[in-house]
Amino acid sequence: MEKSQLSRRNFLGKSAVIGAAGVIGLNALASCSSKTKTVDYAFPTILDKAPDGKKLRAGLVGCGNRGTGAALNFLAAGNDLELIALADVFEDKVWDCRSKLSKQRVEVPEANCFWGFDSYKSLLDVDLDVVILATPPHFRPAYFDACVQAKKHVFMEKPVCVDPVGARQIIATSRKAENIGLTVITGTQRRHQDDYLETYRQVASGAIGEITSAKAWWLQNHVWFRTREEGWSDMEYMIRNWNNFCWLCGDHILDTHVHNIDIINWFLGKHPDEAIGFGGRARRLTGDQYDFFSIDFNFGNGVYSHSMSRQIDDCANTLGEQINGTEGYTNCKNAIYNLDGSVKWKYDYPKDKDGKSTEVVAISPYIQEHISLVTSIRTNKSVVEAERTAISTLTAIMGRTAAYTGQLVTWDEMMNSTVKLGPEKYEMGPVDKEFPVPIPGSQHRS
Amino acid sequence: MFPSTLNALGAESHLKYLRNPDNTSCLQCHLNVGHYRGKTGLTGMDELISGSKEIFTEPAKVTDFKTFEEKIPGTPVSFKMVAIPGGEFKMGTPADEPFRRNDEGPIINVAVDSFWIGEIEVSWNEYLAFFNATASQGRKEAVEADEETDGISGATPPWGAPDQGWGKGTRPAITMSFHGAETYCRWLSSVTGKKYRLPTEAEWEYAARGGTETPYFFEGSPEDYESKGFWNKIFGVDTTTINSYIIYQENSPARTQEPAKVWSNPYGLKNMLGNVAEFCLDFYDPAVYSKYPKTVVKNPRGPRDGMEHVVRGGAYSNSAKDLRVGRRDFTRTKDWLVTDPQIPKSIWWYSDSKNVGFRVVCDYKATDLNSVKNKN
Repeated sequence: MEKSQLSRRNFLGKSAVIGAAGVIGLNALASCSSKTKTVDYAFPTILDKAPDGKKLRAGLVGCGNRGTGAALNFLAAGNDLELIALADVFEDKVWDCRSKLSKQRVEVPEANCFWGFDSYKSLLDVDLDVVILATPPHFRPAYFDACVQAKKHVFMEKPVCVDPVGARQIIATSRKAENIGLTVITGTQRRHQDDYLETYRQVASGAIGEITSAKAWWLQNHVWFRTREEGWSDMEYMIRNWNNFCWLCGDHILDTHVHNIDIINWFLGKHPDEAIGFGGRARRLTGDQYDFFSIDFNFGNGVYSHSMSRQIDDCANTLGEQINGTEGYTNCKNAIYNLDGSVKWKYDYPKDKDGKSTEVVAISPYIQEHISLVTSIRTNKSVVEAERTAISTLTAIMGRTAAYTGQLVTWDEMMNSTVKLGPEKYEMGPVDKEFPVPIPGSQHRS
Repeated sequence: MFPSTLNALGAESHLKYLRNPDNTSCLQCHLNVGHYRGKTGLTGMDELISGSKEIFTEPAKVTDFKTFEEKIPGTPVSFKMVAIPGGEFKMGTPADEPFRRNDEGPIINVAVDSFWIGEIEVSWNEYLAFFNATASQGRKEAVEADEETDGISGATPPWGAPDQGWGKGTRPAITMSFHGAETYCRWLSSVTGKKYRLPTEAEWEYAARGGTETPYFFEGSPEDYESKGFWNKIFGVDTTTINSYIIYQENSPARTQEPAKVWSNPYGLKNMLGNVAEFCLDFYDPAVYSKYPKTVVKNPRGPRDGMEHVVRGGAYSNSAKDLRVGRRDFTRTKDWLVTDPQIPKSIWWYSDSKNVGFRVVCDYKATDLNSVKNKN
């Protein structure tokens, strides 16, 4: 009972004790994660708005809907924030984004609009402080590195890569960013939600006892796709339909489910050692990806997390996380339950004018993460989330690989894997490469 | 470790290093740290054997105390062992010798028994014969070298090219550890049926002096050569003498050379004072000369124990003052392994020493020769 009553102050007292035992950090480089468990309490401070400070100018690379949204989220994070450059592979995407922004009274100078595969390089030549990376994840490792080499702060969307080579590239670039004191925020907005943060504090201070198992799921309807249009080359088609090609998107176990996977890794304080799983494709019309995955992640010491992800209409569709412990369980988001199902603790959401709980945090987490970004830059307190998000992305890649191959896949294999997806060259035109849907195992014999 | 300009290969390599420092060497990329890592591995023996040279089936038979050509069975490798008749000599450096250091005296009278010593420093040909015959795959086997049996576990594969890319062949083998050199001697003994070992410091100096008592076994003063090394670039002063006897800083250039390039000392030995410095059997003690009895010391063996071993003779990297025959130096195990990123560090190869090799001595006992004679 006492534990359930923990206030933040009590928690800090407890966590200081945990800290004294040594926090090693969730580390992709440790070959066996089950030996190290970390407690993360370098939380972002949840502010309503970033503090005032020097003007920050941002450029957006990847002008799709999420990119445009992220740019607006950035601008909403505080005062003196500007968006002054746009880049995308496709010219039409750039102008489309520019006009959408214009409707929000954000005017991007025409001279700072770039398109083509190298447009991000031109954008980096503009005098910017922050770069927002919202391209298909395939391009993230290279673009991120270019940003850090140019000494720009970065907001980048998850997932941060699509293959093991890319994951390691992100980790390395992340360390570069840490070295030069840049800030990198990665679009794992749950980590910037006060309800999640408070629930994490509860669990870290023992509210559910020892963690025994977990599950995470992202089950939803089908997502957008594009059928091929007359005149589109292979490359143009794939990039316009990027969410359906594994080399661009990483499959939906990365693209969306990585949020849940990231929460499990965070709460458990480690990444899994290995994965077994399966998946398949039944309903999709385009691309080479699966419709569903079911992965059993082994965190060692008898702790497993079941990860489900599916994109099929008219199914039991829901999403979330759950972590079970010896003394209770949690939805990770806002509640701790006793083993008998009764509520042990609940996050205290802001109330509406009728005094009823709004059930949402006051500030949209998509803005909150940009508040964290701007706050970090303006207070000179570097925060780099890239490595931990690379670890979560690589966890999803491990699950995907297990499903695609039917094999047991280990973290070490992932860290040593030379798999790099996609064509050799980026240019509009035919792509001389097949993109078959993976089939695990071997054919039955009659 | 992660500068912002680090490229993708560098990033991959550094992550690999962080994950597995035992099996990832800095030297794979940073060629200037320790070993040069060229594409050349230690596979020279294949080329050597595929040549038209004779493969020896038996070691040399020695019936007299005379210079002989040792043959390594199963290889085309042979090397000359020069007979050095025992005798008495003054070991150490006179107090007035230029550049003398404190550990070089006081001069002691030493008598050594007869022995054979390699005409040249153990060459890559010779060391690779050992490596190819005994190389062990992993670290554990290497440590478990079993002295009780005939089996000798040799060196683990080195990181990079221990010849620094300078070439192998008759150039002196370098970068092997003292332990590697001693193991080589044990192996050579086992394949030749003779008793090979490193020279004692006294044997080394006796052989290097070749009966001389001057700073070098040839004419000239260290002061002149040291300054001439500099002045001759301006005035063209003649350094023909030193140049013809040893490979050193002024003529190397910055690397080992083949022994055929120099003349021998009075005993017929090449590069005792240059090319590479050489391990001796003795532990190093800077004051050891003053600890010996004042009478004639017979076959001195140095201190009973110690941490580092004596290294004698100059190297391609030294200038004239350090080529003096009486100059003493010693192994620096820690420094010579400083960039070896393995834990534990290699017992076979130094990452940061590339100017020390060794020369072998073969024990001479008249009775042994008689027994060989009788067998024949």
